[in-house]
Amino acid sequence: MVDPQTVIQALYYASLISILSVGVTLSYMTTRVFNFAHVRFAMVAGYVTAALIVYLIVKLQIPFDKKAYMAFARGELTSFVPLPTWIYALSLVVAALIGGAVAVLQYVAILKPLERRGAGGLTLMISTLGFDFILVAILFIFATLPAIRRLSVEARNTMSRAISPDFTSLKLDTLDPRFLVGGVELRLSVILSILFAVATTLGLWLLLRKTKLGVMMRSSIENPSLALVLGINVDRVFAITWFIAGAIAGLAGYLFIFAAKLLKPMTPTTPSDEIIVSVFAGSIVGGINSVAGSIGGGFLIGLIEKFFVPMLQSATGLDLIKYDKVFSMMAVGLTLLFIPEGLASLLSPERRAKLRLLRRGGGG
Amino acid sequence: MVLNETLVAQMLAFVGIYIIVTLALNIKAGHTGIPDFGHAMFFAVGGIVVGNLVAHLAAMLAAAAIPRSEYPPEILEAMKEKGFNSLVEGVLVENIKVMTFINDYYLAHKPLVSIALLVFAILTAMVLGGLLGWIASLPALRLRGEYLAILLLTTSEGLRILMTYTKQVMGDTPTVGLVVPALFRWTGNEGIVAAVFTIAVAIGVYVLMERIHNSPAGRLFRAVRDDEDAAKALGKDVVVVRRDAMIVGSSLAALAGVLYSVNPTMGGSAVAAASIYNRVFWTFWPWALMMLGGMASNRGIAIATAIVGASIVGPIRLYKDKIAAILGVEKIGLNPDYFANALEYLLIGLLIILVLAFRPQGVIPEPPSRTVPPPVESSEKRRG
Repeated sequence: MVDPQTVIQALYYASLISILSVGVTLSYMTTRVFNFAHVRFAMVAGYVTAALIVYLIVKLQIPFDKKAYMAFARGELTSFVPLPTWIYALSLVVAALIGGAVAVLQYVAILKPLERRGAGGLTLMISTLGFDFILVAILFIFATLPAIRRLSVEARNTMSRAISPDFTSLKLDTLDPRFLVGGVELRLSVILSILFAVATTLGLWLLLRKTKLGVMMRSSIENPSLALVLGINVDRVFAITWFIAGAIAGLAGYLFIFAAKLLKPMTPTTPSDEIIVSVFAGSIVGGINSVAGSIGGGFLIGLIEKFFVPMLQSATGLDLIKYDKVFSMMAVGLTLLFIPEGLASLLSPERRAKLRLLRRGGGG
Repeated sequence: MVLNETLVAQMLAFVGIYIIVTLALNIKAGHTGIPDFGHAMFFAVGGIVVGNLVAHLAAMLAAAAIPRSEYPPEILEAMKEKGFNSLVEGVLVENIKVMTFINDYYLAHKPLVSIALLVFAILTAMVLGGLLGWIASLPALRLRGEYLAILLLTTSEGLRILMTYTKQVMGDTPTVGLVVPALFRWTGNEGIVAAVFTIAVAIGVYVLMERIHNSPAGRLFRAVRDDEDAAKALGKDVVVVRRDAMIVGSSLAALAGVLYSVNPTMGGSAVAAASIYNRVFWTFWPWALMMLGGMASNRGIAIATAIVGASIVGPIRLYKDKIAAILGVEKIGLNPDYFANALEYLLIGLLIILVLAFRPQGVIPEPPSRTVPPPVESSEKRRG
């Protein structure tokens, strides 16, 4: 039978991949570049936010309520929230802002100048690789800064060793609020991940379809020179798009902090190095030119890796889980070779119109 | 940091291997315009051939040459414990013990066998690498630019995971890796000999690349890169040209993989763990070096690789702690290991971005291809 925790973890992972994929798509649509640094935005946001949380723990001397934690573990309490609620809210906002800021920095400081010099798509892609490496280097140094290390030791003592906030391998999952719902343990990061995916979908749909900024964004993507002629500041609109993409990645970074057991502990290189390929996969399978498609594609890739493969394993008895990424890589290969515009193109208006014509016998 | 023999050997080998890998990438990406972001998988072919195929072959030869009664007790014990009957079966099951035994008792005294195995490794790896390159060139028929780059990247990543966790390839402990056959042990000074051999091969590859650059084939590669339609209009089969470039570049990358794996002085390559063949070292670094040297510029790439490889990459990766100590990062409280990691990432990142921003054509821009000058009379006639 399907284990509820498998389902929960699959939903968490799929939501995570889908909100990261949509950012990759947004940046591809504006700048025509596959952004290798995208998941690293999430890492930077996660690190800064984790540092903030650790700082607040030390500053406010928040102890870890072991009794409540044990009571929750025994099932006597239905919820366990180790930190004041406002800290979670504040760190969420901070994560989004940091993610957005790093994305804008990349757009303004690197991609825009290169583009102005006439760099092609491939050159831009390689430059994102370079920016990604610089971010890793900064994270490596940040993780071992003396101040940060002192802070993490103090926070560990304040919380009576319930957390392990060593920034070279961050484990803060005990700080994740937990709830018992119908006998199943749900964690805030799991709930939030699904919420983020839904909110991103709705928010982007509303933004792109119902607001003036969205119209400006769509027209700048569709035809930048025409938009410029019509008085739209395309640069600014693109920078805003990058900010949105980065802010969404920042939300994912917030989820990374509490991710132990759901993902690996956060280090300067993981989980970004491991999931970046899945994120690209989601973006491509869904359709690199479709916001809605990339959300769906990311979700699909996540489900393939964390739900479909474990199911296949238990059904066939083969040892497949460690090969989970191979399946999503195959999905990318098949998509690129047979429907290069992604799954979204199957549902696009032109395609549907064509199908309708075909059904009527009108011919394509 | 004293310049000793080992350091020189390591740096020479490092530079040689990177020159081959980067020139191999150059023939695909620089000359023909195929954005190969899966270069690491072709390099890994070399490692797998050495760590698995050649190791099995060496075990087979050793089993035939050494009577069972002469096996040391720990091998016999391991045989009983793990239940394998011959050295060949033991290569993956009890990798460290069996391979150490073969290296010390057999390969160390068999120069001819070692040379034959090395030649076999190089040829096999080049054939398999070329084959993989041919397969990888098939999607290039339908895809271009970034899409192709992403497809090759994901293929490479998928294959790496597949190979890593397949017991028949990497044994039971994929993260530890396999002990490779010591094919240079018989020389008595394996580090230096391996380095000299690597440099010799690198020079050979460089000469070959220069010849390709100036040959009709090289001009055809660049014609396809610059204007596919024009090449088509002139009756050239673009598909075949791309395939050829992929085969040549990939088999050379596999050759570099062999040279890296058989070299006992390279960082962590006494064991051929699949994790060594990752995309940062063998796809992204070659890309950075190629951009720095200048795409389709063999001389630029060789110079850039020699300078960056010898002065920065080699020492940084091999002597992390010492550099951190010299810079005094411990005094300000940074972890030297992490700092060295950071330094490498910082260098490659800055290198890429600065080159793209200030010298997109590279250190030495693509030279015009030298063709045979027209005979003197005919040019005089034209003038008259």
